This record gives sequence, structure tokens and C-alpha cells, in this order.
Amino acid sequence: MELGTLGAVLAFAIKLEGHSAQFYEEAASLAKESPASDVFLSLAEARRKRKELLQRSRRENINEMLLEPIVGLKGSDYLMETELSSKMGYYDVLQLAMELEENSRRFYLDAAGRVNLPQVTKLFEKLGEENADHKLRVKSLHKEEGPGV
Amino acid sequence: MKVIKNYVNGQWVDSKSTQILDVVNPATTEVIARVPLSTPDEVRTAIEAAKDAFWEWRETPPLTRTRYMFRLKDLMEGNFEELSRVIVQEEGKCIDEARGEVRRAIEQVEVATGIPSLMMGYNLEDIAVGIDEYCVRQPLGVFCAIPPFNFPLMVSLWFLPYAVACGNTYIVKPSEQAPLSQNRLFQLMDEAGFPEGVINLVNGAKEVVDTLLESPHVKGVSFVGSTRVGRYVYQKAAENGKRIQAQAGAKNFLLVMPDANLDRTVPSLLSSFFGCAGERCLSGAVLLAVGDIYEPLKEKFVDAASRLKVGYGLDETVQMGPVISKRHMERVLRYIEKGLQEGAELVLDGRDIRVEEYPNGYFIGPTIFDQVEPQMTIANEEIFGPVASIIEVKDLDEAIDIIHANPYGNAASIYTSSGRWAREFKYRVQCGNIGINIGIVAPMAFFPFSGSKDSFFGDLHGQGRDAIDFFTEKKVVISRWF
Repeated sequence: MELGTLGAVLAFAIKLEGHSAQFYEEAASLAKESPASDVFLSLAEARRKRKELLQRSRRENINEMLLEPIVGLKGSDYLMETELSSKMGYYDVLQLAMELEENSRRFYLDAAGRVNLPQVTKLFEKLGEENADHKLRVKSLHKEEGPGV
Repeated sequence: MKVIKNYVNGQWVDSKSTQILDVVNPATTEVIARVPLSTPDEVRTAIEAAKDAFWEWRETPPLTRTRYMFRLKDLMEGNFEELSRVIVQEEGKCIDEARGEVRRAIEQVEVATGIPSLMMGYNLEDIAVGIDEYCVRQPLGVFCAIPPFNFPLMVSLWFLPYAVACGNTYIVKPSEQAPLSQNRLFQLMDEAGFPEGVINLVNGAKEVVDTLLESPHVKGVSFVGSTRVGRYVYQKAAENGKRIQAQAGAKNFLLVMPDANLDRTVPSLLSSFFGCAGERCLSGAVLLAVGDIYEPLKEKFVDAASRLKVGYGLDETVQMGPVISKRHMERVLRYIEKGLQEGAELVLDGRDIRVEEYPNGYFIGPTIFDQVEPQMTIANEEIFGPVASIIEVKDLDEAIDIIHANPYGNAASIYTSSGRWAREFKYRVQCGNIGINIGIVAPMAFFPFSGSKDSFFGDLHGQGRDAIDFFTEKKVVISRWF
């Protein structure tokens, strides 16, 4: 799907955050016997807050003067499979979480470079940076719990 | 299908008129509501209600009055997305454009909450020994607004919040083509608890307007629409001793200098010419390409415009919606035909656009004429649709001469990297709203929405400090105590 308008980009971002929150809730449930569960729950909460922030941005930052077509951003470039199953191992879940964060980071930084509204650009850059932090948090779980580390 | 109601004296009231119009979704062509063309008697009832409510409202402290505005703002924020969607369905613009409109509408309410400071007067002691003089601003009574279809929610709020926060009472006559968002706004205002009679809504058309203009109890009129109707409203309001501000038509010129940053300029031009399907008084209409920029600009502009996605605005990916009505679509198409007859070159033809899911919608694709001469009809008359005319000019002076030869004076923009050219443009061009590397010169709520020549009739503009002056009278008091 071509993300050619700010509304389409924000709608995609809002959906992304919603799916990510759901992913972390399910991951927390799968990992409920481990310290990772608390981390996943806090990441789920973070994603819910980010979704609200994006919804607020859609209300407050759309400036009619600066609504210009957006070129070169395709939603399909940032779609990824995030379905969890009870058969998945612990490390598989962590790996998927890191990929999720990296995918989000990539989306936000790409979108920041294409959106013309400064407030939205700043927001996307900030969210992209947070994704990098989230990835590090999940990676540290990988190291803590991983065999042979 | 239900007929929408008027809101008079704090009550939703059915009109007794037998003249009812359909409100049509311009993309789907479905009838989404029906609107009455209210009778003169119904208008007079609203005027009486507003008149009766005035004194008590006028005595309400300004701070108390603005608390209703704070409540209204919260309600509009809480219903933001719904209001946006209503605008799309009645007017046709894209959802982002509608959100932009709702945001601008809320900004007006926000600025009006500053009325306690904004309507303060001034004073001086001892103009002579022991004698003081002061000036206060006072509200006058009943005011009204006649907003257009293209910003069906926002435009009434260029006026109403200031008028009402200053202590006046108000009547809005929405566009009969797009009355629903205004209707919803009044539901929110009702919920905000404005006292009965302070704000009133009467649906209708010319008869309603004439009744408002002729009533001795209406002190002032705010109008936004075409120049033809604006001139009529201006004259009739003035004949009847009213204050009048009439924002009228436009033909806006966007000038691109040879040193313009084309990568940033072209997207801005797209937004200006084709945003809201060209149905804005601030829309670009004529592209003046200076010297060497002409060829690369034309190429990029046409290419980018050809890629715009046209469709139903509720789809987030759509970049341009339909025009308001079948009649207007036919009018725009006649202008395109005229352009061809007069010898302009049609380099992007928007006439044959087909939107598969909505084959009967009032869609016209982005349309661009090249080799336009300044005297051509398409270069001079307001089309109010997604039609751009390119004129190649040799320099800034020639561009400014072309702009000045046009009877309108709403907006003009220059795209340049040169401060000198920008300053000269800003300094010399006789238009009310000037853009420098900005294609839609939409003044924020705390500035006046300017305009000159055939684009504005009156002395005081909407918004900003002008609004305070328009909606109050200055009373000078000189006092001495024995």
C-alpha cells in the first residue's frame, strides 16, 4: 500500500503500534515464568502510549498549509509476520521481538525523512530512537538468559 | 430521510418550509441528508431569540463567557475524527484535509478564549487636571455569518467565537450544500451549554440571507463566498446600516523564480493547486514560471500531478477528492473547454478520470494547461477546481504586472532562495495574503485573514485583532468628579 498521504502514514503507524502492543502482551503471556515477562509487559504499555501519541499527533499536527504528497514510502516494505505460538522457544520470541523493533525503527526513520511537517518528523525520529532502545532491552534479555554467554 | 433541524433559542426546531434540498455526498452521490430552506419568519424568530438573549449575555463577565469556549474546544477535540469524517462526506475533501480544517476551527476557539485580554480598552488620567478619559470596547448585539461550502465547519468559527466571547449573540446560516458539520458543531455547542438564544442556526439559502441583511436588529454580517454574491451582500448590508466583512473570490498566482528549490517547490505546488480539489480561496490557480525554471518546473509539476490518487476522501491513501456537485463539475469542465478554445495547451487532462468504486462521483483529475496567455479566460476568472494554468514570464517585473492586472487580490506566492526577490515580491504585490515558499497562505487564527481588491469587501477582516474590532464598538468616557 502506497503511503502517499500523511493520514496514510499515521494510520499505518497507529496500526503498527497496536499490533506491537498485542505482540508483547502475548509474548508476556508465553514468557510468564521468566523475568522477560515484565519487560514485555512494559514494552506493551510503551507501545500503547505511542499509539495514543500518534493519534494525538493526527489531531494536533496536521497543518492544512503543509499537506503535501508523500513519495517513496510503501507499507508493504514494513510488514512482518508477528504471530506467536506456544510452540515457539524462548529465544525465538526474543529474536522476533528484536526484529519487530528493528522493523519499526526502520519505518519511523524512513517516514521521518519523507514527511514534511516538522512536528511529525520529530515525533517519528523520537519513536525510531526508542525502538533502538527497546531492541537493546530485548537483546540484553537474550544475553542474560542465553546459553553459553 | 430526515430533514435536519434549525437550532433556535436553545432548541432543535423543525422548519416548516416545504422547500427541501438533498445533501449529496460528492464522491458516492448518495443523498446523506435533507436540508430545509427556512422561511423569513423562521429567520426572524431566530433574530428575536438572539436579540432577547443579548443583554444578559452582554452582562456576563468575559471570563465566564470564555469558559463556554473552553468547553466547546474540549468537545471538538473529543469529536475530532467524527467531525472530520462528516466534512469528507458532505464536502468531498480528503480526510487529512478535513482534519486540517477541524484543527483550524479549534484554533479559532482557542484564540477566542483570550478575549478577557484581547477586548481590554485603555485609559489616561488627567487629560485635564482631575479629568480622566478611557476607552472601553462593548459588544453591539446580534451578528450573523454566511459561510461557504468548501470549509463547512471552519469558516463560521472565523467569526462566531470572537463575536460571542465579546458578548454578542449569533446566527449562522450554513451552506445548503454542506450543512452537516455545522449542524454537528451546534450539537456540541448545545452540549457546551451556551445560554438559550446566544447561538442560533438557521438553514436555508438566499431568502434566509436577505432576511438577515434586511433586519434592523442584525448589527453585522460576515460572509465568505464568491465575488458576485459577496458584492451583493456587501451592498445590501451597507444599505441597511450594518457592519460587513465579505471575503470573496480569488485567482491566486504562484511565482517560481529560477533559483527555487524545485524538489521542495513541486510538492508545495501540488498541494496548492490540487489540494481540496482546487476548491479553496487560497488555492493556486496560475503558475508563473520565470526564465530558465520553466521547462524543468513544468516537467516535474506535470509528472507529479499525474500521479495524484483521486478518489473518495475517507480512504486514507486518496490525495484528491471530488468537487462539490455535478453542477460545479460541469462548470469546471466548461472552463477546461474554454481553455482549449482559446488556444492553451492541455498537458494534463483531468476530464477522463474514472474512479472505479464511485463511477458517478463528481471527480475531475488534476488538469494543467501550458502556453497560457494572461488575457485568456482560464488565467483570469476563478475556476474553483483542480485546473492549473502555466504562464512563462521573463522576470519578476513581468510576473507582478500580470498579478496586478487581475481583479482579485486574495493571495500570491513566490518560490525563491533569494531574500531580495522575496522581499521585493512581498513589498510590491497587491494581495492580502503573501506566501514565501508557501503555497497555501492560510493565516493562523491570531492573524487577520486578509484580502483586497475583488477578493474582499469591507474594512475589517476575519480572525485576529480585526475580529475584536469588528465585533465591538469603542466607547470613550471622559469623567470628572466634583
